Amino acid sequence: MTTSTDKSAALSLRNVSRNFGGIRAVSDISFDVRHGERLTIIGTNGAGKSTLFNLIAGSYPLSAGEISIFGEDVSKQAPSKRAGMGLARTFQTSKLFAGLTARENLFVALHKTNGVQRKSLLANPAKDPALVAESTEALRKVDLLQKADVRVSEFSHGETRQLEVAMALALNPKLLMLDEPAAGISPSERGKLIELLRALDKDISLLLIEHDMAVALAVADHVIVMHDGTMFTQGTPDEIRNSSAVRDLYLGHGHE
Amino acid sequence: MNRRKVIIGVLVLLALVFPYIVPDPGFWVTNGGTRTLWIGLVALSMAYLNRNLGLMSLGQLFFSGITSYTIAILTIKHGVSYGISIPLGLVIGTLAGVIIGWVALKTEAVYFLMLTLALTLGLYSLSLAGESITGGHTGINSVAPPKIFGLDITARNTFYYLCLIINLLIFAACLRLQSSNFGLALNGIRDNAARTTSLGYRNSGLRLAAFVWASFIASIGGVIGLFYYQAVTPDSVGLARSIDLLIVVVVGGASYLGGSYLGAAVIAVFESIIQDYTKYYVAAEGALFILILLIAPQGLMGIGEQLRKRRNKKLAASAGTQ
Repeated sequence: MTTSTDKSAALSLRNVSRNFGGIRAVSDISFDVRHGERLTIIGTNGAGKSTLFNLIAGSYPLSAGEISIFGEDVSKQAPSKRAGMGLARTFQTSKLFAGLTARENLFVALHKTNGVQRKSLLANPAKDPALVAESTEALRKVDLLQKADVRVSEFSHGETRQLEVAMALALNPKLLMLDEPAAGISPSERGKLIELLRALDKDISLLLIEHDMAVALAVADHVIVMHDGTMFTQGTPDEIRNSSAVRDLYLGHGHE
Repeated sequence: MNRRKVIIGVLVLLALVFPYIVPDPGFWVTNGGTRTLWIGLVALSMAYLNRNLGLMSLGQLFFSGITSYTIAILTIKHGVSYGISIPLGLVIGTLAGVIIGWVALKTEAVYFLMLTLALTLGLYSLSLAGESITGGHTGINSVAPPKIFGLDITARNTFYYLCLIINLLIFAACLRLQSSNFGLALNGIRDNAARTTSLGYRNSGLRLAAFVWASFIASIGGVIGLFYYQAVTPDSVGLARSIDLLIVVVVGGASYLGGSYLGAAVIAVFESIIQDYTKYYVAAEGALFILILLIAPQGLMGIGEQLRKRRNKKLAASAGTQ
């Protein structure tokens, strides 16, 4: 394995580790997400998926290793700087602005597209045709247009997940990271989510962290399986689907 | 949205003709109308902070008081013209907001409440102790109002309309800010600061701007209060009056900007009437406060939302049984 990051990749990790006290939550992870690639990281609860996600987004500092986005080393950059480079992320449950309507949530996101302030802080976004059109488009994509003016505190769980995706997409990202978008949603909503992710613009590189195998394998070009903070195995969706080691891992026996 | 505009329009119209339709205008224009506008404005600065930052402040009278005292000391004691002392008072009150906001916004919830309470108590003690400058517990009295274009601004109706214009401008500005990118961002920070950070917002700067705006509103309230009483005393910045303001905001509905005026009107009218009937009027006011909170926990402005939620719940329940 090379020790420097791949400059042509959308996202490149080399020997990334993170300790919490004496516990090594993420240990020596290296991989690349190539331009336009759909990469999924799966793993059981406690495998270190969310920690890894937060390391890439910049929410946690690295204990060791290097992360680069579009060839630029961002290991020590703040989350907002990474957002400015075209990285958009979703958050796990209830991380939306609950007191605002769906459309207002999008306005807050759109105002800072790619970390750059678009209009005067004092301007009214509801009177800006471009912002209204963009928010409408984002809501339409996730099938929430009829709920545009409803407060998010009154949304169902599935609807908040859909709005999460809309929030990230609205930023026109080049690299999209989704944190368990299928967590807790109904089967019909899951079908819609898979459809939406498959229809994503091929210019967007996608990193999906997912506990739900069905979604993970339906969307991915390449799958990484994490276990105990390390990379357990990797391969195409078919290889992972047919791997007995992975099956054992998910069923809770085998791997020691 | 349109119904809201109609309601606001009707209320503004009522406020405009108020001195001419109210019985006994000699009493009610000042004790009902102007008093509501003055208390309502300072309460608005509290409600604005609560609505946008999720913080309840007991320190808004500190900014009012700083402004009142600055003007009174400069003009009454040192003969500086109002043309200088009033703007200077507003600037000092607002600047105090910058310094205090910078410190206070590092705290949260009950600590913020305590810190702002300490401010109020601090100014109260200072104004009591610094007798040679502040006039001690009698304060600074006989504050002759300025004349604008030869007009006596404290003439009953003139002062009422002046206060009304100032309040309409400030309230309109608050509503405008609420729907702006700034207002949405503040609400975003209140609900989820981590997310606005990752979007690239500078949370602390935006919150400070909101705090300073509220301090400016309270400072304007200080100017109105000074000429309303034509005096400034330690009691006008004391704890008792801060608690009164808290009651006004909570009764009106602490999450609604308009609630400040509704609460102020209820309290001003109630106080004016009840004082004629019983010397236990403070206890009566307390009882009213408890009663309103039992009926409308979200304040008077929250009743509409409360009814809507109940209706939705009923609809959902009846849909469930079918």
